[in-house]
Amino acid sequence: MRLRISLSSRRGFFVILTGVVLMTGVLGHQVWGAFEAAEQGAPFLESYKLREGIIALVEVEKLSEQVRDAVDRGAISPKRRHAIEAANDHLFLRVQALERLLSEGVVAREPEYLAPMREVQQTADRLLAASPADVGRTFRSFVAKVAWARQALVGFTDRQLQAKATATERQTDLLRRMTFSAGALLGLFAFLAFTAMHLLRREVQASRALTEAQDRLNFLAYYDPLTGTSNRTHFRQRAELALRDTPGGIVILVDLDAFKAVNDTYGHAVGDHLLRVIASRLRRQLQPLGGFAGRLGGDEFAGFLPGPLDRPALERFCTALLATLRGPVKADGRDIIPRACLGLASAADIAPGADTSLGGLMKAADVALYKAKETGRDRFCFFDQALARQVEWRRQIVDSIPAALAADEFVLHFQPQVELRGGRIIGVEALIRWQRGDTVLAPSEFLPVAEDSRQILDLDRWCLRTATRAIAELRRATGTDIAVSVNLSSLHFRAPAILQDVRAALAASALPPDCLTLEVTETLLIEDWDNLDNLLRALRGLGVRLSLDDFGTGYSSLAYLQRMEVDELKIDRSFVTDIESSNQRRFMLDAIVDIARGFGMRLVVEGVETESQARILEDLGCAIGQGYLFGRPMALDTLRTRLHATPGRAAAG
Amino acid sequence: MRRIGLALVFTLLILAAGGLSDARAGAERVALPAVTFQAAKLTVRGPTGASSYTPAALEALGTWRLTTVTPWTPDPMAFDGVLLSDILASNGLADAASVRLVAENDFTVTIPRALWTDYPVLIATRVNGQPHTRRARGPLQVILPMSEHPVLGARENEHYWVWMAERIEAGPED
Repeated sequence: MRLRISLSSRRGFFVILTGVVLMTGVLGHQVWGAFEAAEQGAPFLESYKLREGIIALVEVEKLSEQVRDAVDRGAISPKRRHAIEAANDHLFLRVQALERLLSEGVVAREPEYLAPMREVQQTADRLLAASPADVGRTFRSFVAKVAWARQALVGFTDRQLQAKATATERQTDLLRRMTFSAGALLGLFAFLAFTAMHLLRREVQASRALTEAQDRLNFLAYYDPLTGTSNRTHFRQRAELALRDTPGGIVILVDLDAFKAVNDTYGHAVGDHLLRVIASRLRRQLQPLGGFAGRLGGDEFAGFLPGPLDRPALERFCTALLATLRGPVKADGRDIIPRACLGLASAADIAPGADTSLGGLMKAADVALYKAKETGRDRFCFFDQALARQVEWRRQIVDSIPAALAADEFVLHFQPQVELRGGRIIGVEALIRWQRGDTVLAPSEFLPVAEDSRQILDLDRWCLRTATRAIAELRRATGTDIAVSVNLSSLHFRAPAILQDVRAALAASALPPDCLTLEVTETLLIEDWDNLDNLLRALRGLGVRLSLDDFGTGYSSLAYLQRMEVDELKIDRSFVTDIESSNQRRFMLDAIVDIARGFGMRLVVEGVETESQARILEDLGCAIGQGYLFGRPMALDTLRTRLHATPGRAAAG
Repeated sequence: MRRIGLALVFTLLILAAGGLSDARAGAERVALPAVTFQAAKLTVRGPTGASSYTPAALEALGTWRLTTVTPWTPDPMAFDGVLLSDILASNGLADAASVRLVAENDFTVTIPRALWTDYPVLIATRVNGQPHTRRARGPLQVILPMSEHPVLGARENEHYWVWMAERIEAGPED
């Protein structure tokens, strides 16, 4: 059974205290009883009385002897008289001493033992004073008194012996009880001490465990258990404190390139190992300069360097840090070469008046990191005024898109897609333009921003609606059956509302579904193929056509091509640009044409600018071209005019 | 300072005038008239031999008075007699570590030297001017200054109060 009493609890304390008091009380009562009994008789006093009794017996005998001796000789000589007197005096004093002793006793009955001795004495005195005629009678009386006294004294000594035995027995009993009590108390205290130590030990252990748990909790609250570096919260706290001391402090954000690929390829154990190594390398680089590191989450790390540091020193630091980070990491018997990008920001780099708090610095460093990643892997980038302006520009774009949508600032331009053989316009690609005041913004100026802010979803939707309506009207007005292509961001793959939007646009415009082509670009990291398959199938189910845009610039994965099952492939303009001079280009294009034919896909070539390009493409077996040769992106009215003109091959220029 | 000086001078004066040692403090020298004593005899065995004293002969060694209570008498009485130290000195026992006192009834006690050097130990021959008797624990009785030093009357010291003293000899150690 485990002891459930806690020594430090009030209950435990009182239970033990009550036990001790009770036991002490019981034992004390026992001992006190024995003590009181022992007090009844004092063995020493009884022994003393015994001694006096025995001496008295001897002295009675001495007196008796002297008297007998004198009486036997017939006459009492002065010398014998003196001897008798002396012996009688001795007895007298003995009786006195006994009397005094007995008065100290508890039993008052004892003086009766003294009377016979007094009688003996008095009779002896009478004998000394007796006339010769009376001597015989007095002597007989004396002898009788002596016998009586002897008897009384023997009784007395017996009694004293008894009393002494009783007193000794009581003392022995007292001693026994005291010994037992002392032993019991000793045992009790030993038990208590043992129990107390045991309980104390358990409590100390429990409290130590609690402290450890609290420490662990504390650690978990402030540190990343995987790498042992500060977690996001703690990093921010430390950095905020450090910024107070060194306002010129530098925030460094570190992002591992393709960490997910490492995780996917080698497994999480290797990924974790890699993170630990990176964290430790980061710490090693920062600590000598008084800085510290933290893991913000995933493969995002952050560092803080107390500033200010001049730009060359900082660049040296970054170069060294990147060099350290890309040291091979041994994992599973192979070397992984980690690559990272750094984004740095300090208050000095931020535009005057802007947010120089830690939050502001982190945001700025994030922008710099983004920029570094844009530039390539293994790079670092400082947040500076140019970047700040860029950020500001992007912010303005993001802020004004909703208003621009509402104010109809966006317009669609259409670029013809033409049959290479015959020059007939068979379709157009709808391209968005932003009429912002007096200037027209090209898509490259705002679409990437809108992509980042996910506003592209709204823009795509608007394009879809506007393009289908415009082309449907155009078809009615011109009597032609041109098709329209609309670009769709790959973000739609994760936002299936697009299905509804396409359906609504087709319904509203009454455009035949097969006259609508949705152009999508390759996205490598598709996490949910099932969802994408479902979406593509549903779109095809609506009857619209799917086109893979910018083919040849990205990964151009054949597996992807197969999986997507698109209806059309759009060859990127880069293939066309030097098609006249590069045999390689031609061979590749030839192969792509073969593949497209094999898959049963239509091929549209972008960026066709010269007649000779068009001729080569035609010779290679490409059917449809798009480019300045056939017309720049044009307003709807221009397109209408163009369609009213002859459907023959457009003139060059 | 002044008081200590005074006390010192006073002590020196007393010592010079009386020639008293500490051991005799509490006892006073007395001159006694001749009386008839109960028959008694004290034999002292010293290194040079034995001498026997009747009470009268004992008193010739110089008489002192000690007024004190005894373990048996609550009221103080004046005891006259001879100092044990004087008797021992007369018999070459002054330097003995202890002496043995034997009474007429064979009661024996060993008295350590400290007792007679620290206190005036009296062998009393008279009580309140009268000759000491056996029935009053005489005729020769050891008397200690109990009034001045109550501890001398305690039970553990009672055996020093030998009565009917008959013999004095060197202690067992000598």
